[in-house]
Amino acid sequence: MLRVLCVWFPNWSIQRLRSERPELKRSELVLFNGQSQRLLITAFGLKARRMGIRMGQTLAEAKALLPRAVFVPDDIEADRNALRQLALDSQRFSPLVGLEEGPSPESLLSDVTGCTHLWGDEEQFLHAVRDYWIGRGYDSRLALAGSLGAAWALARAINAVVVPEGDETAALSSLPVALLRLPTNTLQRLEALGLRTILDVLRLPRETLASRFGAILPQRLDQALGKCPEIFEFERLREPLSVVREWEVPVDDRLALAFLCREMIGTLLSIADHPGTGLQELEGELRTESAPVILAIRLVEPTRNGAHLAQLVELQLERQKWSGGIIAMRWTVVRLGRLPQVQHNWFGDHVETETSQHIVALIDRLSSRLGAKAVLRVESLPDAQPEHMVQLRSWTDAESAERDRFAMSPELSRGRPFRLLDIPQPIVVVSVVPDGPPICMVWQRQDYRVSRFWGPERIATGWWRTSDVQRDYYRVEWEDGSHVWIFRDRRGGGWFLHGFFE
Amino acid sequence: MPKHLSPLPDGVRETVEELRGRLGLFSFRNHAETAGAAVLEAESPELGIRAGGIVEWLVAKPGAGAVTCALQTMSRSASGDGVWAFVDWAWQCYPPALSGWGISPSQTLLIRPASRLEVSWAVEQCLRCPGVAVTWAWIDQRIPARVHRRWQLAAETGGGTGVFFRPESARREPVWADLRLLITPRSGGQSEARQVEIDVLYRQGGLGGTTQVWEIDHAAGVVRLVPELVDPAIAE
Repeated sequence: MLRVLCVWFPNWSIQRLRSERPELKRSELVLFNGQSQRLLITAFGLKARRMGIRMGQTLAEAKALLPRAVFVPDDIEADRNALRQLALDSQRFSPLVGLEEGPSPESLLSDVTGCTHLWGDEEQFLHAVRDYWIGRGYDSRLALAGSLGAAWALARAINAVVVPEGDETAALSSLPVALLRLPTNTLQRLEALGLRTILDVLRLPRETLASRFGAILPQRLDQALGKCPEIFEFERLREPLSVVREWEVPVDDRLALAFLCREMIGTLLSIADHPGTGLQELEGELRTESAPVILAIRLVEPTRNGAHLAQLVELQLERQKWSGGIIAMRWTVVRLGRLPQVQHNWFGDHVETETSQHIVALIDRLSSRLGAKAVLRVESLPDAQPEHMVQLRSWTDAESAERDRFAMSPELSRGRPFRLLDIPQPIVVVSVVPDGPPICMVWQRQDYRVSRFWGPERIATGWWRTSDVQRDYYRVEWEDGSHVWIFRDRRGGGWFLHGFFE
Repeated sequence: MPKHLSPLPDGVRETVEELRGRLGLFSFRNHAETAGAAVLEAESPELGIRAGGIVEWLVAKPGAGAVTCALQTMSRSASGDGVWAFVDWAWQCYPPALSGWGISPSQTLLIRPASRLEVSWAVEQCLRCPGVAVTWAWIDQRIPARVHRRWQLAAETGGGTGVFFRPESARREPVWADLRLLITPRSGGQSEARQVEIDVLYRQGGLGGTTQVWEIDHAAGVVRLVPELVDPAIAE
């Protein structure tokens, strides 16, 4: 008989943040969806709930209710990755551990059939698992049952419970129907009919369930009661793909090292010889007599081109410094990727494939030598504040599908300078009337007379950030013909130089 | 009328421009100069830049309008399928300003080297890549002749164009570019547009020393040549 353990980490996104950033442990955390244009609350703690915070509330409203809380944008991908790591850690109890389905999983599911006797019995096994997670500082709820659905429901309803084989019906009867993992519309229909517990649903004629509530209801019931098998995907520890070379006499000749790297990468390519698979991220460790030297290669696209990879390694070797010679070298594949069937095009359809290949190779070379953060692509953001209008992202990061969606109109764009100062520089401005347009200004202790100006263009935005901006921007022509972008800060009253129309 | 000012026969000017293009020599293609009524209509200036060459813009003052002028001329002459690489050592390039002058930010590659030493390497890599149509760089340091020569060869190999912005003080350095221009902003002007003066300090194949006045119209998004007054002798 199948035995399934479910470990639920309530409010996983908040638990994950607190575990990664210990300084937030004592803070009241409220998470919001930072990706969409409307900033809505997605997770919060008990205190926040007591103060009236609820799911889907706007960030501004939540800030008004709980001004002292720490508001952090959520990161579903990081949550999933952290939970995946816990699944791998959890393999000490069972080799088959996976994550529950759904966009933001919070539970680990383990097939523990044949494992529990190693801890004595099922009760002792459950205590061992609970103690392990408590020891690691996580708040968890557990249940062990004969089906995935039953374990999932009981972990949320009762905690630390073991349901003997075949007792699922009795254990689940009194639980609310919401624990059957049903879609919202089905739950609303059940609620409207006054069917609140699983027993209420079990009393209905089974043959009518599918037609009245959809096929999902009988399916979930069967899965919970163990009458219908349910599979989940297991996280597997993978063998690292790596090549190691060691030698007795330290080698300091960079040409020889480059040759060795080329050979080792060739070996890695032959090991990772799965059809349609290429290398996307590699890590090299050059062991010296003192500290090791780490080389990291991240590619825009996976490749099987050994010469290209070797060239990237050589570019990194040129910049590295070490004392003494190298006594051992290890190259490990950190990430494999699927080779594109049709060559992907980074710069739109009008760019030919060959050009795209040249550019991808160039980006790899530049990133390899200058660092990934030095080679950037531009993504427009829906923000009026000049500093936040674009996001510069590394080419090795995942590409946003809508990078041009929020691009400015050409008319507005021509009102922006090509050179924008990181930090606006304070200037002294003389105006004829208070808050009026500039007549002359002093910048870096030099006087500049204004011969013409265009504006003001008012930018008032960013109220959702810590400090919002209210600025009146002017394009100003100095007496010598130079054009600069200045603004008056309407909140503080000061004037600032922000850019040059080069 | 002096003999050297007499109108050229039809087609001669086009033939000369074509021959100069074949030789890889730069020339202002100013059709407004041709004659008659066309002089009254300001035309968009072109530099006649060949692929695989380097253009240097010496900037007299900050905010002089050099990038705008260069963008307008390059957006017409550069090949459409390449990307535009910006080597931005000062970390001040502001991509939202590009789209207004015909360059999509999605077609740009922004490179921000951490040190000055890396700038010349990054520029050479971009010039050498056949996928890069134009390589832009702000270079405020003295560049050794060896590096200039490497850039020249890289541009010829890659087939793109290098556009470098340098301070006016660089005019004392030897010229390695195919075209060296000095841009000086002009104050005032009767229209809403701003005016800049372009001095051709050097042009491969000679004929440097000419000056033109360009007008940058931010509202309309065009850069046009300001027609000079016709010589009264010709008008007669």
